[in-house]
Amino acid sequence: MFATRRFRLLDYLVTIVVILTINFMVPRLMPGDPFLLVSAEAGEEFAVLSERQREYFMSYYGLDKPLHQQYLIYLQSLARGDLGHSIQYREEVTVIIARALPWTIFLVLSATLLSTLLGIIFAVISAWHRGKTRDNLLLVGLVSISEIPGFLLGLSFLLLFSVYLGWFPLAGASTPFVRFDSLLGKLIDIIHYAFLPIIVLTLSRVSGSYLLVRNTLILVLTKDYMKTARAKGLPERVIRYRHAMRNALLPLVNRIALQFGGLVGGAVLIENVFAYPGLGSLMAGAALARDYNLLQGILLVLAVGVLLANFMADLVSRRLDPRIR
Amino acid sequence: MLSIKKTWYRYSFLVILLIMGMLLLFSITACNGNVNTEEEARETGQEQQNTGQDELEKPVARLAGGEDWGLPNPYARNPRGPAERKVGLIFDTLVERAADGMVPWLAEDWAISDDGKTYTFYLRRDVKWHDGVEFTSDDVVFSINYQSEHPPVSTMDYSIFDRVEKVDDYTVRLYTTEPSAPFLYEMTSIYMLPEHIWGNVDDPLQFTDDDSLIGTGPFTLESYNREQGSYRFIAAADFWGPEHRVQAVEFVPVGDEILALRQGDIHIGSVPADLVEQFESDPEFSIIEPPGLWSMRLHFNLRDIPVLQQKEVRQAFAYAIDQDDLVNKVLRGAGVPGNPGMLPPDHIWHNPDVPQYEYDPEEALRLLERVGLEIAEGKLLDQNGQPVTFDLLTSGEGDYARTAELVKNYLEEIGIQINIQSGDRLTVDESWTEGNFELNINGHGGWGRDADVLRQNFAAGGSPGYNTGWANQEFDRLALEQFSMFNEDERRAIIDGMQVILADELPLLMLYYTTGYYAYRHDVYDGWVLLYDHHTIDNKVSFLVEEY
Repeated sequence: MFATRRFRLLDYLVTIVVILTINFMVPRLMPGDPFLLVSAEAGEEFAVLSERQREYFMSYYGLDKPLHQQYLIYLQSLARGDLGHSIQYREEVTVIIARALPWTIFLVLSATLLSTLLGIIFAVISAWHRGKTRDNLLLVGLVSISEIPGFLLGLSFLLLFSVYLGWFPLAGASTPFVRFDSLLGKLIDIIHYAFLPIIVLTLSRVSGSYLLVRNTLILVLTKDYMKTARAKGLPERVIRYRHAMRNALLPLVNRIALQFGGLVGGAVLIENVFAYPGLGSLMAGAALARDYNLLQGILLVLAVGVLLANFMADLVSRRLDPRIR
Repeated sequence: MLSIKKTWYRYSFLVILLIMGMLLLFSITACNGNVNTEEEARETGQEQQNTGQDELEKPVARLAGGEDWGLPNPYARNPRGPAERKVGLIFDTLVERAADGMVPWLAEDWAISDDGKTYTFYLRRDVKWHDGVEFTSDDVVFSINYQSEHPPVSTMDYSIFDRVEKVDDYTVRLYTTEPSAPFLYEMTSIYMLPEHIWGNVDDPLQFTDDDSLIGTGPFTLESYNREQGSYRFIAAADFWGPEHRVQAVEFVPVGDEILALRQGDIHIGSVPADLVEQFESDPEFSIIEPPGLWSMRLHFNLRDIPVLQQKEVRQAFAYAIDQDDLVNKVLRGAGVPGNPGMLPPDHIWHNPDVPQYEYDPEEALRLLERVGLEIAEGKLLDQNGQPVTFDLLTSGEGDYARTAELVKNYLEEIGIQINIQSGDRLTVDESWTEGNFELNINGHGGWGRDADVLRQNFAAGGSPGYNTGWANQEFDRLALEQFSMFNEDERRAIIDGMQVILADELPLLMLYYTTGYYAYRHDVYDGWVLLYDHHTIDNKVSFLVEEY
C-alpha cells in the first residue's frame, strides 16, 4: 500500500516535469515573437517597434538568452513560485491568473455540477422507461441540443432572454462601475450575469453524462445481482438507488475528471459570446500575442487542475468502489 | 447510523463540489470587494475636485470595451491603438492632433530655427497635474530624457533627440540630431510625465501604482476592472483646456457589438456594411463614415522572385485585379479601392494625378507578353518556357482570407497560378518581415500619418516587410529631400513626385482602404470627432468642446 502510493507520487511528479517542459518549449517554437506587431485587424493602428526598442524589450524579458538558459531561469523562478511577468499586460502572471481563475472555476464547476445532476436525473428517467416515448424524447432532445455548437446556443439564448425578454444582461460578469452595499446584492448580481453562460455550458454538456449513466444503468439493470435484490424483496427505491445507481456512477466520476480540461476549452467559446472573464479567453489572447510567460502560467494551472481532478476522481472511486480499496 | 454514513459517502463528491462552488462564489465577491476599495481610495482623493454640479448634467459616453488594454499609462499599456487612445485621455502631449490638423496643446506656441534642428516650445502657464502640482518645463525636459532612456510603448524613434534644455519655467529648447519635417507630428505621440512622480521610478515597466495615472489630461481613471476589460474615465475638474462635453467616458464589456448598440448598452459602435441601412432608417441612430486609412496590400518579393523584378509584371497584376469588385465583395462597399500612389485618397497629401490601372485583363496579358512571358494552355510560362506559380501568404482570418481567394481568382483568369498559404497572424507577420514569402497579403492602419510614412516604408532601408528588393534612386533622393524641407508647399510638391514614382513602379499593390461605419445614438451623445489622420472616434477631442 505504502509502496504503491509512493509510486503514484512519482508518477505525478514525472508528469508535471514533462508538462513543464512542453509548456515552456511549445510557445517558443511557434513562429513569431511577442514584439512583432506589424499587421493589425481592421480599425487598428500600425505599430512596429524600432530595432532599439525591440532589443530593449527582448533583454528586459530575458528572451535574448539561449533557450536552455531561459529554461533554467524559468525552473528556478518557478521553484520560488514566481511565474514571471506578462509581456502583454505588464503585470505579474500569478496576479493575472488569480484574477481570471475564480471566474473560470465558477463557470466550469457550476456547469459540471448542473450538467451532471441533470444528466443523472434524465438518465434515471430514461433507463426506467427504456424504449418508451419518454426515453426516446429525452434521448433525441438532449443529444440534439448538445450537437448545437455552444456559441450558437449562446447567441440564441442572448437574443431570446436578453434582447427580446430583457431578463438577463448581454455581456460581462457584473454590473460595471456599480458598488454594492451588501454582499448579498453583489452575489445576486454575479449570479444574474452568470446565469445564461452557465445554462448554455450546462446544456451543451448534459448529454455526455446523460448517455453514460443511461447506458450503464441499462446494463446494470440486467445484472444478476439486481435479480437477487428483487428476489430478496427489497423495496424498489433501495434497488434503484442503492444497488443500481451506485454502480452506474462509477464511470461517471472518472468521466467528470477527464472532461475537466475539455470543459475549459468549451468555456472559451462561451466566454467570448458573453464577454465573460476567464482563463479561456485569456489563454487564447496570450497564444495570439505570443505572451510566453502568461501562456506558460495558464497551461501550468490547467495541467495542475486536470491532475488534481484525476486525483480526486481516484479518491472518490475508492469510496464508491470497494474493489479499489 | 450506518445508513447515514453511507448516504454521506454516496453524495460526498457532490457535496464537496457544492462547498467548493460556494467558497468560490464568495472568493469572487470578496476579490471584487478589494478592487473596489482600491478604487474608492483613488476616488476620494479626487472626487471633490472632479464633480462639479454642472458636470453632472453632461452625458456619459459609453463605448464597447471588454478587452484588457492594460493600465492607461505610457508604459503599462498594451501596444495597440485602443490602449494608446486611453492613455491620451489622461496624459497630454505638447502638440495634439484634432479634426483639421495639428493644434497647440501643452505648448501654446513654438518656433523652429532656420537650420530646422532647434525647436523652442512655449508652454501654457495655467496647467496643473491631476494631483495639483504645477506643470513646468522641468517636466518636459524630464519626460523626453526619461523616455529616451526607457523607451515606452510607441512607434517613436527617440534617436532623433539630441538634447533638451530648460530656458525658463515655461520655455523649453529641443535639439534634434537632424532637420526633420515630420518631427512636430512625431511630438503628438510623446506624453508628458510628471517629474515629481516618475523621477523616482527606476523600472517604469513595473510601476503600476495609482500615481502612475497622474497626467495633465482631460480625464482621470475612476474605475478599471481588468478581467472584464471595463474602464470608467471621469472629467478632471481642474483641466486647463477646452470644456468637457461629457462627465464620463465608459468602456463596458460587450459580447456582440450590434446587440449592445441596439439595447443601449453602448452609445456608439462599428456597424457592418450590410446593416447600415437598418441603422440609417432608425431615427434613434446617426451614421459616421470614417476615412479609409487602413490598407490591405499585396506585397511582391522582388529579392527572391526574378520575374517580379520587371515592373511590367507588377503592373500586369494591377490590371488583372478588380479592386472595385474587391471593395464590393470583401467590404460590401465600405471601402475605397487602392491607390497606386500608396497614400489613400483620404490622406491630406494624397496626389490624385498618378498613373491608374483600371481593371483590364487584356492589358495585363499584353504587358506580360511585352516582357517575353506567354500564356500557354491557360498557364503563364517564363522566358524558359517553365510554368510560373506563386505562393500567396496570408493570415487565415476573415477579410484576409476572402481577399486572398478573390485575388487568386483574378490572377488565375489571366493564367497566373496561385497557391494560398495561410497561418495565424504572427506567423504570417514573421515570414513577411523576414522577407520569407513570394506574394503576401497584409493589412494595417496608420496611413493617415505624416506623408513621411512613404520614406519610412519605401526608401532604402525601409520598414521590415516593405524592404523586399525594390530600389529607386530618384525616389530615395526625393524622400530625403522632403524629410528636411520645412516649406510646406515645396514639401508637398516633392511628396507628389514620390507618389508618381510609386504608382509607376508599384513596389507593392494597394488593394483597398477600409472605411466601415459607426452608428451612434445622437440623443445620448453627438460630439464624436474624427481626427484628420485617423479613423477612430475614441480620441480625447471627441469629448471636448472644440475651441482650440
